[in-house]
Amino acid sequence: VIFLSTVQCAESRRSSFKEDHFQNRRESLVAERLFLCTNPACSLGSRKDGGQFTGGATKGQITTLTGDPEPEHVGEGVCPNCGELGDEIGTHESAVGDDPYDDLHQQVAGMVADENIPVNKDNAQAELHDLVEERENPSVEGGEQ
Amino acid sequence: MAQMMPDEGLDIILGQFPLSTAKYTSPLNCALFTSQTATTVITHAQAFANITETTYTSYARQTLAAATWGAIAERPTNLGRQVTYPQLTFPTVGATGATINGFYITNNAHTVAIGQANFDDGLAVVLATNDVIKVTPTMAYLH
Repeated sequence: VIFLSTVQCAESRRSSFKEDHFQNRRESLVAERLFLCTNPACSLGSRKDGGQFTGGATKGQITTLTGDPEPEHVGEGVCPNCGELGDEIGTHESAVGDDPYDDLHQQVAGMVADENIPVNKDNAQAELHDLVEERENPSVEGGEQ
Repeated sequence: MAQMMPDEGLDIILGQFPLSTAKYTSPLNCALFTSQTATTVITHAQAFANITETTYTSYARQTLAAATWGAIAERPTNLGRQVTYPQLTFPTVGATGATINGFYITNNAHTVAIGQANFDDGLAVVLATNDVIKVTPTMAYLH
């Protein structure tokens, strides 16, 4: 069994966008209100199903999206991808994990960035596994009695 | 690009077939992570608790409905069989962005990692205000 990824792209909607003063509630990592965009023309989520979002669009974002300088709905609950009012469906809390091998991940990332070390995106995970194995079973390398 | 179906994810799959001891609940979730790196993911023995999800402004993980996955098709060339989900668009970034190292798929309750993967190009995606990230997940079984 394998798990495969994908394609990704990040695209800037408008470089001239002027950010409004919309309160960012994500700093506290508490559950936020979750909304579903039911606008069938909205790109959020997949085209077939509605997408979910937290927070909401600022006035500047909606004006950029719709051209309306005085949009009717602004702020929490307004879809940041289309400017339409979403339906509240529950709460959302991002998962906060803890990886004890974080230092090893960073070590491998350093190897990938170093052109003089033959570790790249295709074998970085194998390198990580070797380092984890060495840490968990130091005798495997014969370095300890 | 690294990818991992950890033990807890494979246990769910084997619980469907051949064990038939557990029925997974649709929809699954597709989330974005900021932990690990752009070229590494968790190890097989690690789990959901070792992954940190992004918190950029307006972010919410997206659902993966069973009925929305595409038709089963060949994994080129003759490597196995695969299914691909339609492109997922995540919420437009608000005031605060994030650096995304990849995505992971979780169970309905968002408590078990089915699989985690970096992006194909092995690069992190730096999201700033007004950016949009789109992901097209594929799952495959190899011969």
